[in-house]
Amino acid sequence: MRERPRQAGQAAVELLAAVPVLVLAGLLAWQLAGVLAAGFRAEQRVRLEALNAAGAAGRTALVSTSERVPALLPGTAGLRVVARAAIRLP
Amino acid sequence: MSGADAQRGQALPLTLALGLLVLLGAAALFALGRVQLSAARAQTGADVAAVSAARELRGRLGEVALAGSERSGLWRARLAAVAGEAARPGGARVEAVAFPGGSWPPTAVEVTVSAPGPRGARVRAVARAGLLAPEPVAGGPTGWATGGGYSGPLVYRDGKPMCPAVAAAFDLMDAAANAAGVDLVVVSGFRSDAEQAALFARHPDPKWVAPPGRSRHRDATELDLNMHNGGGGAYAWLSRNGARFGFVQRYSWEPWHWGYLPGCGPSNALLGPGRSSGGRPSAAGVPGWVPERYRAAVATAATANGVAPALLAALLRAESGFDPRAVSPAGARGIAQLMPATAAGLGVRDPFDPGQAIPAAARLLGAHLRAFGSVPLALAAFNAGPGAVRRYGGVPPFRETQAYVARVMALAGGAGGLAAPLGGEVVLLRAGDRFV
Repeated sequence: MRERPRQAGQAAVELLAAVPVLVLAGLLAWQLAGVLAAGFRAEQRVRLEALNAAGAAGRTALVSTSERVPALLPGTAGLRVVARAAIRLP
Repeated sequence: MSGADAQRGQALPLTLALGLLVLLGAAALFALGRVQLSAARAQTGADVAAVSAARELRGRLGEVALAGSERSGLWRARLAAVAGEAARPGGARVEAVAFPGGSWPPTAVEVTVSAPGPRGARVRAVARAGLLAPEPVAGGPTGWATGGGYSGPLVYRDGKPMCPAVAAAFDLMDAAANAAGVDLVVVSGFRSDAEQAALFARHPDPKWVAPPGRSRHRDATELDLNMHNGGGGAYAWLSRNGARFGFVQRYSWEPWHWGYLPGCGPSNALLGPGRSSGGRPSAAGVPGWVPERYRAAVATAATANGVAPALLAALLRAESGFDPRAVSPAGARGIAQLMPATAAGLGVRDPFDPGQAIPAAARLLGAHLRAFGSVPLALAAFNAGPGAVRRYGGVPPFRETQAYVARVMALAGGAGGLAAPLGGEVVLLRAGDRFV
């Protein structure tokens, strides 16, 4: 009966120690989702810009867009996803 | 070992396992997302490749028409090169280029591309881009012919009037001639009886100027072209190629006089008061004169069977005038005028039901297009049966069938109106994940 408070405290301390691991895992998952979302946004934008591109008829226009990836983890600041497309102008 | 020692550290593996689970879940979702992203990238590649190829086709429609369907392989390869140029920056690769619909010149391009996916796999995507005919009377003076002969709308080329069907065919022919370095100039087109009378009064020689009421120019199908002094090679070019576009030299002693054989048809109804707002073809390519309640069915059935929606619409209009209760003296029934045996063969239980008859007509027309590789022959097969087309090796010499083919072609507008000089548009024929 005397052991119980000590055990409860032990688990709490261990749980506390593991919080950074959980937070890191969550941030990593969120960072990956951010990369994908930026990729989709870039793809959508480049498609739209390419289909609406105007210029000299018969020429090929190169369209390029880049989307910033939200920086959640250290070292990911300034990360961008680039999408490119070319299209024959009308 | 005390109880405390045994239980120490139990929460840590649990928490680590939870963290691992979060990471694994995230990794799985990321992998799924990467597949989706690759699919989106492939679709972008397919879309820009198809639009680029269709724009190239539009710019060279005259040359393509002139080359004939026997050179379709060559044109597919040329358009594949253009499509590949567009797809490459996005990391996509063109796998195939096809001309859906079977008509010549083609009015749509279908491009299949593949883009790199996760773990070295390639993700495929297909896009179809089509050419929309511009408003036949847009951007230029128009008129209305009366006073004998042709009665209907007039459009002008080089300042000379003609019916829209002739203008469309002339545009296509002119584009082909321009590509060969020949400039065709219209010096005379439709002439009313009063104008003919004035002309005859100035030159009263029936060999050179027909008396009023006798000139073919009153039909709005005749063009006098720039043939003086050879017309810079125009006569030689027209002699070789005019027939491909429906034009024939009417009189051996008049090298400048070229007539359009399919005629003006009933296409004047296209511009009549019954036309829907704007009359502009929709994105699905269904003409504005198709009744609202059949528009979706026509677009869906046509696209599902590789038939141009305008062609299917023209066929239904010629068959029944969109009357689902129509019955012909020969016993053909419904909006598509299917004979009972044909309807049974197509699995149509009620030919008076447009919901069954329209898809069946599209299926039959699509099969004929694939079998004969030409719109006129497919239409002739629809009207007279495929056996008759094979027996005669072309459109059978039946007056009814020939008139039917000309009528449907005129209603569909042919491909002439899609030629680049008139500024037709290229559109993606895909909405979401499906073609429209």
